[in-house]
Amino acid sequence: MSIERTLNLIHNEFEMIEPMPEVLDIEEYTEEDFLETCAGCSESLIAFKRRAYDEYRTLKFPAWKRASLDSFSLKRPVPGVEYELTGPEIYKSISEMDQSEESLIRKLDFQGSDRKFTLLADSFSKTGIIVRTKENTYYGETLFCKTSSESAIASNLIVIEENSKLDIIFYSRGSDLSVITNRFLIKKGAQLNVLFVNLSSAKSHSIFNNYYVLGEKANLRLYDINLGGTVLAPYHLIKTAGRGASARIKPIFFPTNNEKIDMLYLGRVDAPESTTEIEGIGAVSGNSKAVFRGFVDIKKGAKNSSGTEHSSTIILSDKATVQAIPGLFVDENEVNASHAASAGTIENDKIYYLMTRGLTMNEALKLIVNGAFEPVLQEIEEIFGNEIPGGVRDVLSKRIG
Amino acid sequence: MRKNINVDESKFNFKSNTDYAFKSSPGLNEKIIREISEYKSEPSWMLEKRLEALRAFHNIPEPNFGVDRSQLNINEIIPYIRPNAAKEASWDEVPEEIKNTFERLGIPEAERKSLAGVGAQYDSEVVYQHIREDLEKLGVIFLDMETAVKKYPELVKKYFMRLVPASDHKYAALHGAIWSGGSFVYVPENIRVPLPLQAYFRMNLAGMGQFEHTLIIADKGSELHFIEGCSAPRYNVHNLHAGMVEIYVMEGAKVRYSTIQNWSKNTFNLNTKRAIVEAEGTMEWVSGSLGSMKTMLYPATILNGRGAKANHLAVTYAGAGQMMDTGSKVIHLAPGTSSTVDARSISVGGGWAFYRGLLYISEKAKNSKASVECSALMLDNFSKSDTVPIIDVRTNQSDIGHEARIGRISEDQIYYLMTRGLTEAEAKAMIVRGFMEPISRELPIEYAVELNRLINLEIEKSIG
Repeated sequence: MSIERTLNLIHNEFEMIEPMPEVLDIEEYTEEDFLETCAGCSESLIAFKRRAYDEYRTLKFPAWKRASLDSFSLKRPVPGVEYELTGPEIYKSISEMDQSEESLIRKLDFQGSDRKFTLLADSFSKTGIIVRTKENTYYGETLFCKTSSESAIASNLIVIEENSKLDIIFYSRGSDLSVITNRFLIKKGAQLNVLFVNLSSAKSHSIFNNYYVLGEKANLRLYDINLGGTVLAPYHLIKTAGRGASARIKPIFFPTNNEKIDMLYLGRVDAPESTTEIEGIGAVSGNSKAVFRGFVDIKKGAKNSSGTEHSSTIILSDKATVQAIPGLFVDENEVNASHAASAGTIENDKIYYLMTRGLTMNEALKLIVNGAFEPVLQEIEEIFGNEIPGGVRDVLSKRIG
Repeated sequence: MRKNINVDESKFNFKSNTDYAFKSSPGLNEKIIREISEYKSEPSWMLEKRLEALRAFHNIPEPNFGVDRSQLNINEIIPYIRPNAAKEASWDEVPEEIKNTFERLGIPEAERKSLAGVGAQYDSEVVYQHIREDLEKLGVIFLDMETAVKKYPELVKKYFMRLVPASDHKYAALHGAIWSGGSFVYVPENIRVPLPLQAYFRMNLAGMGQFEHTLIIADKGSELHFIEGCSAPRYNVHNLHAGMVEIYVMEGAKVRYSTIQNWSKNTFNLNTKRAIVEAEGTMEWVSGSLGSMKTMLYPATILNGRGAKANHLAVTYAGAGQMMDTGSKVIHLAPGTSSTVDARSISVGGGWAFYRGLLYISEKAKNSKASVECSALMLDNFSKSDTVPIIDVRTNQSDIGHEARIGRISEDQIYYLMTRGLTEAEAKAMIVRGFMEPISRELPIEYAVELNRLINLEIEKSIG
């Protein structure tokens, strides 16, 4: 079964050379560790894990040029993610995976930011979740999935059945190691609103690989709040596979001190009359680094579709680094595709104006930076309530200084 | 009724029967390099540089990005061919068959009309070099590289492959080992060269490699416009072009480098172009990349002095059977620097245009400004257009923007023009010319006309 690759750099008789990343030698989990995670799992999950593990063992960890994983190590003992779950009871443990779910999760296989991490989560997951809505059902209550364990290795499957609607929040705080793979299938006419909140600790390595497949007229709204860590690497590949599907992706990011965030949001427009919008807003301070890859990939046959991507970053420190890599890949001409990126400091005029109105410099700065994030936080508030945006606003304000 | 667009492909794609004074064996080894160096009567320091580059070539791996180069076998490329002609300063003395080649390309005609000097390279050697006497008297030097090595060794030693050392990448090393031909230009302080200088490169033999080296030094306050053109007939074996351009723009100087690249579609074009600009200097690249089967070319500017400026204007045309991996690199290393990149591409007939760019703003580049704009036009549904710029900002006192748009020609536009009596091909060509206008208006008129004719030709071919 073929996997969904991040980029397919082939056209007619031509092919681009794909860079081979440098690799790291890191002490691996053992066969015994793997078997330990299989205890108590269904036969279907064990079969799935075994296949993933067989491939996992053939690969090395990447060094990653931009985010640098030099300080990365696997934590022992082999952990399982412990979600605290509230909201509609439409979930079960992944350890109960049945044959049809195993078949589905294999169909939703993908490369991720690096195949090694996607497979690490698939091989060593034990206590992830399977969420499945009922057809034609609107869930007014948000499904809230919270993890705060020391280490989290998980593989989750979320299926939004036809014409149903669900709001879901994945909230993580404080893990030293998080490697999580999420697969989302949003069927015909269904809607998913999903919010990720990553408030990882300064010592954490968090690698999140997410793959979404949207059916006909399906709708996805994705909000991703990334607030740092030693390395935080969220990857989201959104494929509009059905005619008229639409996806809106709105990440916000703010690393500080020595934190690094390496993000990739890829909208793959694969069906006619579908749309993808990516709009990232962020700030960097201290010695931090933000890498924002926003890619729009419009495939042949996706006629009358559109893909747009935009990112803007406020640089608050002389030692912070921003790398914006907006990619646009188009092999269908009857489309609209564009991207834009900007990075810069806050204009002195704006600060001066606010200071003439009685604000201190720091207050003026906070007002401007918070103002950049506010439209997204308000959207989140409208969908998911005010608890998360309130907490995020506090964290953002502290990061401004 | 379809009218034919008035283009003449034979202008570029004809073959000449030329006698060769020397043709090296295919491949690359020390023996061949020593042979070439001896043939050119080079000083020992240049031979040593070549051998050092050869060692680097063997040690440096292939770039792990860009176009697939597996069809390119360096061991099958003929690295050096000397036509049976001495270098001439008088056009009348150039051998008839070579003269005919350049006459058909219109080179001397262009010189008579609007150039301050011309260098013409045929395969591996410059066969004609001429500069206006008044400029020569002002101290402007315009020579083929081989003569410059002997006549101005101190200048060449100081600048040759300092900006792009052989260790930079594999094809820089290849170039350093086997370079031949090209131009050396020195413009003294405060001298403004009123008309462009031109170099034209012609590859005539199947399976050869052309590795010309262009070195330009624009001293303080000087100004120069340099034009480069190239062409080759089409063969069934692969040709390789791995030239190099190094430009030093001193304080307050201004250099514009314009290129119309029209290699034939059996050619790998793996060229390196780099400029370094000192305080208040300006570098402008104006490029039209049309030919070749596969191209990797990213003209680069290093803004090294306070207030230095760079402008990159580029149009890339990827037609049937073409994969064009082009882009721009701008490195801001000093305060108050500014740059603009306007990159446009057209893909048609199944061609693939790929923009790969880098904009780097270092910690020292306070109060710098940069903008990058990429536009791509897809003329049909068989082609592909991609853009991947990298914007790397390391200071909080800069203002950086990037925009890209990929679109198509609307049916309404074509229909409108066809109701005014144009054929579909003419209508498309007209829209494409409009799209490229910001580039072509920066070229001297002869080159703008040539660019338009080439585009017309390509569109006519791709529409059938």
